[in-house]
Amino acid sequence: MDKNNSIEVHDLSKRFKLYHEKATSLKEKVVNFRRSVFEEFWALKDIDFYVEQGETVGIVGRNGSGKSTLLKCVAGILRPTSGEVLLRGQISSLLELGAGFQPELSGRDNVYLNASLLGIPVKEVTKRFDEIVAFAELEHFIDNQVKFYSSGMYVRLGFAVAINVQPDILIVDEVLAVGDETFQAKCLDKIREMQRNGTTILFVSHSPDLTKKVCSRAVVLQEGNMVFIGEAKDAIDSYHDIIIEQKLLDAESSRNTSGEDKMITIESVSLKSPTGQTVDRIDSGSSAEIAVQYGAGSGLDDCVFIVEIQNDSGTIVFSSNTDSLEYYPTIKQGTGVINFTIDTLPLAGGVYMANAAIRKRGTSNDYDRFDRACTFKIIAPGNNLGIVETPVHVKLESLNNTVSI
Amino acid sequence: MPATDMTITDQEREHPTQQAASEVTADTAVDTAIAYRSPTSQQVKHVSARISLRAKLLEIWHSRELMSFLVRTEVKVKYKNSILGFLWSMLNPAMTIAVYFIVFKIIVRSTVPRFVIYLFAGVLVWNLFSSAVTSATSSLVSNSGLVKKVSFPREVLPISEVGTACVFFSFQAIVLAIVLAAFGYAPAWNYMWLLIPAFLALIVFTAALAVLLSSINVYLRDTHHLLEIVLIAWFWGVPIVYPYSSAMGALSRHGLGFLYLMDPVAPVVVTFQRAIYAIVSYIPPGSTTRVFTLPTGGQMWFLKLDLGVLAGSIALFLISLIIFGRIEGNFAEEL
Ligand SMILES: Nc1ncnc2c1ncn2[C@@H]1O[C@H](COP(=O)(O)OP(=O)(O)OP(=O)(O)O)[C@@H](O)[C@H]1O
Ligand SMILES: [Mg+2]
Repeated sequence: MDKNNSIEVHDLSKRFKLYHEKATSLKEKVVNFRRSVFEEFWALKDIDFYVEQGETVGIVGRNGSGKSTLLKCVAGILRPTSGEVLLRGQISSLLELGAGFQPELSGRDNVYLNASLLGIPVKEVTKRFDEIVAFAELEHFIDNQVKFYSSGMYVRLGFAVAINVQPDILIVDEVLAVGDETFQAKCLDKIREMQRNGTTILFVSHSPDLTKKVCSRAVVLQEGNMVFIGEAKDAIDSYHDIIIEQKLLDAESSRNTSGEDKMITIESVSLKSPTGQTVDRIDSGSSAEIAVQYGAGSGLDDCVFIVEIQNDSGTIVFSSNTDSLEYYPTIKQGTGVINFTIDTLPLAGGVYMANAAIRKRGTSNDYDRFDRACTFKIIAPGNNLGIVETPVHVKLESLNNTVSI
Repeated sequence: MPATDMTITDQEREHPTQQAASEVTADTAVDTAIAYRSPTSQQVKHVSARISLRAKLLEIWHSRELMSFLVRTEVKVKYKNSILGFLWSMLNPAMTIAVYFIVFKIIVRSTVPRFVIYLFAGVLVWNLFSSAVTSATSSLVSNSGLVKKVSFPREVLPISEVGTACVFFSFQAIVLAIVLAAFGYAPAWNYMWLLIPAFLALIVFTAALAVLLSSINVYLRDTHHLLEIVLIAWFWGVPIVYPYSSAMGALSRHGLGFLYLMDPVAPVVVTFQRAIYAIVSYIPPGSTTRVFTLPTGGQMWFLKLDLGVLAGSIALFLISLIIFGRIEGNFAEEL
């Protein structure tokens, strides 16, 4: 093991057996002995990377791509089918907060129990007990039975234990998503503090922003394969490419357009470049056109066309409609396209989705609505965090002359 | 299915990292703002295939604190929210003893003197064994949340069930001591020290079964149910309710006497009875022939018996650990 590395993963593969109907009793096992009813499934294939001491590496990928499985293999909960993991130092994992909690016991007893499950000696816990409780903000509740805790309190205590015992390696699986905003911010601060202190962190989050913020490097997993490893922003970029290529976010397939006979339906929504081609990626700040194709069963003159753009966390970052543009289209029977031309789209780099809806004027009823009708990627040079990307100028101004010495 | 394992490789310990890490500390010490921490333990943990038994034993040894917490939790939680609380742990053996006393002393008219003490000594041992093995067998399944989400040596779960049973055993033993004192009953003091090897043999045997059955139960949930049935038969195979000599006599006539003491629990029970109950033989009222209740052997006879069980149990324990280690790689998926 290289002396600078905290974690080394060598050619790690993990195979699961997927049982159709799992036999857990003797009779079933005997009856099903010959025709074994499972399929093999490789959740991880030849994963190979290292994490240097003090480094924070993120893991991104779609649901089911093997992120949690990888973390569990590293944490020693699952044994790899082949390959190995080398770890240096005390490891603490935040895979599921409060997993070891015993609801009948008090918070105090649970702190000790949970810490000793993580392999932390009692005297260490005693030393840090107040710190742990203070971090969880549970001073008044620490002697209450854990079963009376709110789910947020539960999670906070679990987080506080795992993080305040000074592990050398911390494994975090999407746990920052729980807890209220202030607590999330506090956790992030704590993670930063640990990073400064040289803790090695392996981090899974579904938020590209958070991954970019926290990690220096990241691994992209796709169906158990490591398809990318490199700087966090490049990794997120590559992850977004996967999403776009597979049109994973498009709702097309799941949309049920038949069935009830609508007066007007949205047939498709597409993003067009200024030259009129359908595209799935555009540069931030350039102009774009959203084309909504509809099919009308009869003539209508009370239609309001709405388009929205939402980012990957579901926030609507842009919305417009024909009424607010003071455009009142008259729809004839048949199909047609309505184009929204956006002069500049100053969005931060990332994956976005366009929604479209046709509303009956003066009501809140939609004739039809098509969410996530098309997915596209905005390419921004800076790869900054945030929602908008807009030209910025920066200048240094020295104020020395005003300072009297 | 290839079993895979986690070992702490010792040769990695004298790896030059210690030095490297302290260099880092020295460098950054100049920059006081950053207190760079070298890993507290320089051990390299190794998650991969196969395990050495020694590493496994070491892991369990290092989890002593965890086991004590698990035992404490179990003891605390078991009778929580029940009015009688701990008393329940006494009522179970009390009831057993009462039932057998009524059936055998009053209905069947057994002539064994001080029958309650005789029963108590045997039930004490049996309860420890059977309750530990029963709860340990389902320990991995009932703690599946832990097994799936937290990394720790899993053998700790069945073993701490044995620890929990020991706690209740000691409560019951105290009650037995009080009963003895109250009746002014004199145990065989010179046989008392034999309780130590006997108890050790019992614990190791129980732990061995606990580890083995808990792991099998993950794959075959029948194990738990099967065990309950086996325990019923096993109970009657051990001289708890009837005197040792009557079963031994019947078996010996067919040359099967040795079989009786092959059961690892029987020697322990007999030792406990010899030390606590102490009445080796008696003359029933209205009879002139002496009836034997306990083996007539001396201290060394008992010691040899118990050490034999201990040796066998240690071997079984190691085998159980190996089997456990082979199949534990898939626990987190199977549960
Ligand atoms: N115990 C198991 N038995 C069988 N298959 C499993 C088991 N655990 C995970 N899998 C499979 O392995 C694959 C990877 O799962 P994993 O939990 O690692 O995904 P993930 O990347 O963490 O997803 P998410 O983003 O939803 O958390 C999934 O297809 C899942 O069905
Ligand atoms: Mg996951």
